[in-house]
Amino acid sequence: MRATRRVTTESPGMASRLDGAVALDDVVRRAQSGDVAAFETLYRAHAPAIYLLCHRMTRDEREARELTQDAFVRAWERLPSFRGDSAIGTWLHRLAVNVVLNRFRADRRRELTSLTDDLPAPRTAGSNLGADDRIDLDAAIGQLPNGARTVFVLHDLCGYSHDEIADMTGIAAGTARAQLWRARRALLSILAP
Amino acid sequence: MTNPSANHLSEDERQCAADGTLDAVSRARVDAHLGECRECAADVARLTALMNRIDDKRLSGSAATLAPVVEGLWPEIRRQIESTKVVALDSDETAARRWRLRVDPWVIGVAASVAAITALTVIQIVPRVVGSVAATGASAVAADSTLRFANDSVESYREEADRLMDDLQLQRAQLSPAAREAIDDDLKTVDLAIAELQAAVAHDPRNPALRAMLASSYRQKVDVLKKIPNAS
Repeated sequence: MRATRRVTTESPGMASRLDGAVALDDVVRRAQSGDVAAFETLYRAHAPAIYLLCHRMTRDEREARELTQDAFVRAWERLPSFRGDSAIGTWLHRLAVNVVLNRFRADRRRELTSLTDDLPAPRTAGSNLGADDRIDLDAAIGQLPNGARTVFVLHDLCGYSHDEIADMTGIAAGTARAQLWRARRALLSILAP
Repeated sequence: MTNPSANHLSEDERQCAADGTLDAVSRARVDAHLGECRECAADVARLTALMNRIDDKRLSGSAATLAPVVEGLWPEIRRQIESTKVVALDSDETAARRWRLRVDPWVIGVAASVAAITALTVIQIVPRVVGSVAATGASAVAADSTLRFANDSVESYREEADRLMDDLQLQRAQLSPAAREAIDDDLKTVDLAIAELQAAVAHDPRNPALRAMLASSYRQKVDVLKKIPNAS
């Protein structure tokens, strides 16, 4: 029944400072050969998207900064193994997701599989908030339980398929799908009761 | 997937209708149902509105607002990257003698490593690289590219080292005799390693691995020179 919903993993303009695939290939190759200045160019092009991903997954500025740093240090270490099978941005994004998920795995409190975490209380009609002062979507995402938020960010904001999410997180694809439906319903209740 | 008991769409169908992931066959059936069922249509409309808002959020990358945040992260990333190659030196040390005691083993270690790696490279890597380059035209192009990048790195670090050496000449008078002696010894050791690699590069100018090591040695010289203000 389902077709794949594919979205870009980066926001427009974030990587556009690098003009063209040839220039980007050139920068990647220089970085692979140990050129720190070239790696810095890659960093400046992709770091905003990576930081945004880390922040959306963790909802914590300090942790998002740490994870962004970890992701790029690992990217530097693993760059020689980058074969160009995907865009460098996609490769970095996937690497960053793994860095965040590894952090989650190290912290047992951040269980991804639980479907019984408490959802945020829906806003009531008496909360006196109209359409103009609706809660920001990012803030609403931040109220989601960890498992639902992770799947939501990976699927709806990053464009990974349920199978890819299952592969990355170790949860079943069906569980990922259920978490996504749950996350969207929770967002609906938070944003527009 | 339609719930036969209530004749409403299932959760899967509603969600997929909203995010546009229904296949053609399912879409026709779901669309037909939505045309008749106000309850399902209203629910899918709410979900679709949410998906549109999510799309807007995803596409509204705030690179400009995030730039200051990520800008502040780079120095630490660079420090960690560099630390994988170079043993960090203590920056707040003021005694030239103590500075020398910490730097000397590192510099000596670098020199020894460079010498050993150079020997191994000349013996083992060079024939492979030359053989590989000779094997195919594509390999030759790749090797030329790698060689050019390595050479650029050499020039970049050499220019920075030269500039810092000029600065050092101006600072020498402010350094204690002991600090000057320690610095000169350390630079002499690094320069010796550089000279050995320059000789190896002259012997095999198309070996990118040798040029990369030469660039690394110049970078280490830059690191030594940058620490000098802390030694005075």
